[in-house]
Amino acid sequence: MFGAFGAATAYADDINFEVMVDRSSVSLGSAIQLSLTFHGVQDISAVDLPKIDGFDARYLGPSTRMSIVNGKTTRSITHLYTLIPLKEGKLYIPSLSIDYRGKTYASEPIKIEVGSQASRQSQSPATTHQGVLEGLDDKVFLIMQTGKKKAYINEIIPVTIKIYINKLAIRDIQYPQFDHQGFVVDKFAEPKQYQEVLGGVSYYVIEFKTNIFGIQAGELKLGPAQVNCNLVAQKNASRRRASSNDFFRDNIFDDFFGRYTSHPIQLKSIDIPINILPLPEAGKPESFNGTVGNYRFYLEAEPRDVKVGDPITLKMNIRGDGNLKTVNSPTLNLGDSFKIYEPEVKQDKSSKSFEQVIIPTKDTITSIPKISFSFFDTVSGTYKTISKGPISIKVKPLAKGEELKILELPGVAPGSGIREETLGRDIIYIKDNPGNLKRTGKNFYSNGFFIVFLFIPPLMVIATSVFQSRRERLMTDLRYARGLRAPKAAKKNLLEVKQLLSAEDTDKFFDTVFKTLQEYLGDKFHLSSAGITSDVIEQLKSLDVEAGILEDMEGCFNVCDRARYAPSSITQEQMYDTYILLTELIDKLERRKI
Amino acid sequence: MRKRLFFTLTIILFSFQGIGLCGESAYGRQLFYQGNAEYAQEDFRSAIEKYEQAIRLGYESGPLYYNLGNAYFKNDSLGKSILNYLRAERLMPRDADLASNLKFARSLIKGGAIPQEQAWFARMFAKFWTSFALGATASIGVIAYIILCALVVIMILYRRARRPLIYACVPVALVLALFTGAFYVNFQETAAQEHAVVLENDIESRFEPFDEATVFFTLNEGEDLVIMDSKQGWIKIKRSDGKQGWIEQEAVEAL
Repeated sequence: MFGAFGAATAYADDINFEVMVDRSSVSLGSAIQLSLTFHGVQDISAVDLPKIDGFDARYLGPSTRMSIVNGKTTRSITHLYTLIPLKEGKLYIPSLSIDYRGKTYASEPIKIEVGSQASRQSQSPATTHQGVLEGLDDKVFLIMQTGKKKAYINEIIPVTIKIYINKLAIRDIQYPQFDHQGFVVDKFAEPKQYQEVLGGVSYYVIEFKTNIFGIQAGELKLGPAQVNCNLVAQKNASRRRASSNDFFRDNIFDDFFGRYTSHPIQLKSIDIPINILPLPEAGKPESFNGTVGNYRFYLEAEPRDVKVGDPITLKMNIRGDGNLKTVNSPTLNLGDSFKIYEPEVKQDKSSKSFEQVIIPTKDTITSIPKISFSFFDTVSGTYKTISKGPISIKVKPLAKGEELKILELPGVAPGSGIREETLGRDIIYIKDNPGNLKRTGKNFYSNGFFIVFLFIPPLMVIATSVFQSRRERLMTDLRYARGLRAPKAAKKNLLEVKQLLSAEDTDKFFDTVFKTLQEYLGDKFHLSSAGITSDVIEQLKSLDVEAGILEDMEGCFNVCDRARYAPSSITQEQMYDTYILLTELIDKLERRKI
Repeated sequence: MRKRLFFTLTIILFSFQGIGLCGESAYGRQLFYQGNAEYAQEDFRSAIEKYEQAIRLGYESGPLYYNLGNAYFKNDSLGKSILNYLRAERLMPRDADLASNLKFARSLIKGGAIPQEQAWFARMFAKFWTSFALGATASIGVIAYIILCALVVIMILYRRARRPLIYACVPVALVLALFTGAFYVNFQETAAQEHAVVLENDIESRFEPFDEATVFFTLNEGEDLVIMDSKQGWIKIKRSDGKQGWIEQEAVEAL
């Protein structure tokens, strides 16, 4: 697509001569712009172009430029020509030489590809994104490059991805993505932007750089890289040009207000095969654990004069070039004389440091053993080991009576997998007071009595509730109350009657008998006691009281009446009979209503 | 007047317990103090003898088992030590010294901690319910029970007292419910299941109760187990991680 790399420039003293085209592929019917730029002078007149095979040249005019940067003045003059291709195929703009003030300046030839007109149809803005991208391959493209095509596992490989843009408006460029099966990829740094001339054409370049390293051996493939971005095009449905290429030739940056559309496009690069070599097994030291690069190793330990149980901080620093991610804390083989804690890791651009706390547990220790750090040097292709130490230290025993306390250091966790040692702990002393010395097995709650006893409270509750309801009934239900009272009152009265019988007091006797009848029948049948006479018998008939009872009742009443009106006719025997009759009457009535 | 009778009955019943012991336990206390004296002299064997004698005579208390546990510990009998600490724990579950010593002793069990079958919250739950000794739980429960019944009786008899007393009933009922629950849980843990502690290291637990059976897992001195069954000198045990097996009876002692 593009010809020779680099610009077609000639240098001589402070003047240089540059030949550039605005694009290196074109279709028949379109033109390319050729510019001849002289830096450092401004008074060179238009150059007559020699006849260029396959092109028709026309001079457009000069343009001068002067800039002052940091006090330095630069001047240039550019002559612009239009070149119209006359035939298809690969055409060359030959080397151009210019004489100026006795010196000759020449440029390199530039290759131009001319395509047929048919392949570049005029396209309306409503075409698909793919359609938009066709024909723009030379105006915007993606290149991926790697610093090495062959590397060891874990060796750093720099990767550069560049977007080349020629006279297009590209916006919303996303970070590139690429397949990296078998590699670990770093984040992209901030992209750089600059101008680069490629094949005689000046491009605007956006460069992304990152580092990768392979984690498996073999022939791996990196990429292809992909970048998503938006192409901004002028909405020019009405203005039809001769070909789509002219769409973008003129000032795109003029009309911003609603006269442009955004087309999302995807740029793709080629893929790059990379051969990842496995690290050689021969010569691999024991202390090697994957570090690749070229490093220096520094070791410090302090304090060097401690007591048993006091911490010592080991400071290990590794600096150099290479894959710092693969730099691990050197393994410490200190045996069981030290208690080791996890190291604290700090990393900056070119060095990694590990601070690790160790605690000597015996006073017989005289030194910290040698610590080795191994890595694979990719430059020489060999393993290298740097060892530091042993470092002599002085460990004093504990004073008599001092307990060994291994404290947990803040922010540092103890090595896992080691069972917690309880050095120096002991049981708490015995108790002086025997407490409540009881008989074994004699629990009050398993005692039989206790279980029985447990039933008493609820029984109490039930009893109380029955009692209470009865009491309430007595207070509210008068008939019931009187009914209960009747026999008791009657008994009392009968007793009185009996006494009067023996006293032979006829008047009083029959008065009391009558009273008894009254009260009893009144209470029993809930009638007004005072108003009871022999008429009550009629009332009681309707209450289904038995005839026999009523007869007895009648007898009692009659006797009482007779006694009232003719007391002298009553004999002692009659009185006795009356008493018996009354007693039986009450008895029968009592038995009845149950 | 019925209530008065009832209360007197209660008091009499309870005092039965108290009267019986006062005189006898003096001897037990004596042995306890003697044991303490031996311990202070660092003569742990004699201390053990004295404490064990008190126990043989039928006495027990939290401090007695605790001191015995200490004495065994000092005498390098980890199994017996833990056994007695666990007995003490049933009688004084909230004692901090005991908890500390038991934890320490358990940490010395050969082979390290055994993964528990119950989830931590189930264990916390059980621990909460057993935070009172069985006897204390029962006592508090019974008192709450009596108070509640008394309140109900009063509420029946005195209409006007009903409203305010309802508010008194609620907490009492709550206490009753809690302690009844606690009693039940505690009972299940202690009295309903028989616990035991291993007395020697490397005790082999087999699938079947005879010498030639395949060994399933090994037990170490101090581990506590639940006894599930027994058969001709062999007992079937269950460890705290749920594993079950048969071991010889002599290898353990029950709580």
